[in-house]
Parts: sequence; structure tokens; C-alpha cells
Amino acid sequence: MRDLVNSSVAFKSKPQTSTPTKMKKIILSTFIALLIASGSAFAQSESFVTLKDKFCGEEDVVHFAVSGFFARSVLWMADEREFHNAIKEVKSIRFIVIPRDAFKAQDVTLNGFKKVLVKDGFEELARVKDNGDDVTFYLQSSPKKKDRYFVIVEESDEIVAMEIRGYIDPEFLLENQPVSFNQ
Amino acid sequence: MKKVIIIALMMIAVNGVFAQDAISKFFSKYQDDESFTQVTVSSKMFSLFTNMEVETPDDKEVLEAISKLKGLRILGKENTSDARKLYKEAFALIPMKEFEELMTVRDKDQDFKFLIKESGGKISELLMIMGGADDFMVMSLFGEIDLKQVSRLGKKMNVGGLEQLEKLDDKKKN
Repeated sequence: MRDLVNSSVAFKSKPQTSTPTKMKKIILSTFIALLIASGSAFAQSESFVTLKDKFCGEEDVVHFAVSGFFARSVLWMADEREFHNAIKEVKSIRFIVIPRDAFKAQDVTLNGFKKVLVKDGFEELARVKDNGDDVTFYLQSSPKKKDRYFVIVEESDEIVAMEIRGYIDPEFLLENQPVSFNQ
Repeated sequence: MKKVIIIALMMIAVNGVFAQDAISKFFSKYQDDESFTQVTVSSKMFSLFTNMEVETPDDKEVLEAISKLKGLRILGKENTSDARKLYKEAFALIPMKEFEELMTVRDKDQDFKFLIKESGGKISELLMIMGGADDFMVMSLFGEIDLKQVSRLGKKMNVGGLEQLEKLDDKKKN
């Protein structure tokens, strides 16, 4: 408790942020908000829209989208250069995290959704089951449409669906999971 | 005569189905066991590599070999006391009549067995079964397989064990 009080005092005794720094923070926050918003403005696959329409608004369902530029910036800052280079031509990434209970509540199944993916033109690229997690990678590609990857991560209590729009360097896929797994 | 041909064709078809089932049986037996790692790669994934830009002719050869593959399945278990038991079980379940033994390697405490299935003078499947003191792995690679490229392909894809096939070249040279 003392630590908490001390830290609270320490926080209070901090000098006030100067106006230029405050301005920088506002600009940066606006910039990040715009980037996230720009991610959600990109076209979505029918499969992703199906998931969003079904589950958005349900308890503990989290949905967000980021632009490729934002994702690359984060990877650059995290010093993940190989990953950063692999997604150079990715336009947007969107996620939805759905608790398994929400599937039960809506009386739908993940296998049913996988059929929706196939109808939507997604083909299975690879599947990896490891330590209780089950990850399936899909690709939707056509001469007219830009590539779209769909990744489903099945965990014990929730499902994470991720849609990546744009081109991913195949060499990255070749030298990392899912193709390579045991080194 | 017609009947004989039909029966013969049916027997070939049924035999083919059973052979496939026997391999799948081993994979499906453990598919719900979370202590196993399973990887399945489809032909779609391999087809992605056909348009990749490469710098050297060697890399081009490897990519051409990858693009002819139809699929890859891996089932593995690490840090297990059952590794030897699983290794033996794999041989009991896999239809050995369908395969030809290519090579056996003992590397430290690990045994590697490479089996191939040939059809029409081409290798259509490569099986690698690895059993060690603590680790077990069975890998099935199918499609049109160029054995010369498989060890390099293993390096490119980081699939451990396939580098053992380099010993096949060494044996030929000696």
C-alpha cells in the first residue's frame, strides 16, 4: 500500500507536461487513430463480414483493424525486420476475438464458418496443431482480387480470426511456420 | 473376361483406398492428442512458390521441386518416453508393401528410416520416420518428388531430418 501511495505521490509531483510535448502527443494520438481508422476502411471479405455481423456486440468479443503501414511501423519498432519486410505489400489486417461461449450462444459452430470460408473462395494453405492450439491458414486469390489471407486460431476458450489483405512474401512463409515447424 | 477385368480394377482401387487409409489411420489416431504436433501443408501453399524471384540457378531448382509437391503431413512428439514405442507402432500401421526402403540412418540416439513409393518411374511419396530416445516424428511428403532436391528443400523449409538424405549422395559417391 505504501508503495502505491509513494508512487501516487511521485506521479503527482511530476512536473507538468510542457505545451509542445502535449501537442506532439495529441498529433501522435490523432495519427494513430487515423491509421487504425484507415485499416477499417479497407474492403473486407464476405467471410469476415459474416463473423463481424454475427458476433460484434456480443460479450467479450473484440474487433479491430489496422492498416498495413501501422502494422509495419509496429514491427519496425519491435525490431522484427524479417516480418516487417514480408508484409511490405499488405494493405490491412483485421482481427476478431470471439469467446467459444459466443458460438454456443449464437447456436453456430466453427466448422460451419469454415464452410462459409470455402464458399467465399478461400483455400486451405496449411494447418498446425501444437500445444493445444490449432491454427489454420487460408488464401483467397483471384486475378481480379488482391490476395487475402485468413488465419483461424482455435484456443481452448476463444477463437481468433485474422484477415490479412495484400501480398505476403512466400519466402517468409517457406522459412517460417506453418511450412517449417521443427527447428 | 470383362468380369475378370472389372474385379481386377476393383481390387486395385480397394487396395489403393486401404493403403491411403493405413497412413491416415496413424495420423488420425493421434489427431486429438494435444501432446502431438501436427502440420498439414496443402498443394496450394506449394504453388505459391512458383512465382518467387530467385537469385541463383540452384534456388530455382529447389523452387521448381517445391512447386511439384502436392502436400506435406508431419506428426511429431517431443520429450516423450514413448518415442521408441511410437516408432515401432508407425511401422506396424504403415503399409510397408506399398513402400520401398530408401535409407536407414542412425545419428547419435536417433533412427531415421526413409521410405519411398514409386509409380510410373516417379517417386510419388516420401516417408520419413524418426525415433529417438525422447522424440518421434513421421513425415509424409507427396507429389512429384525429386530426391536430389529433397535434402536442400528440407533446409529451405527448415524440416529437420531431411538433411539426412545428403548421406544418400555421399553413399553414391563412395
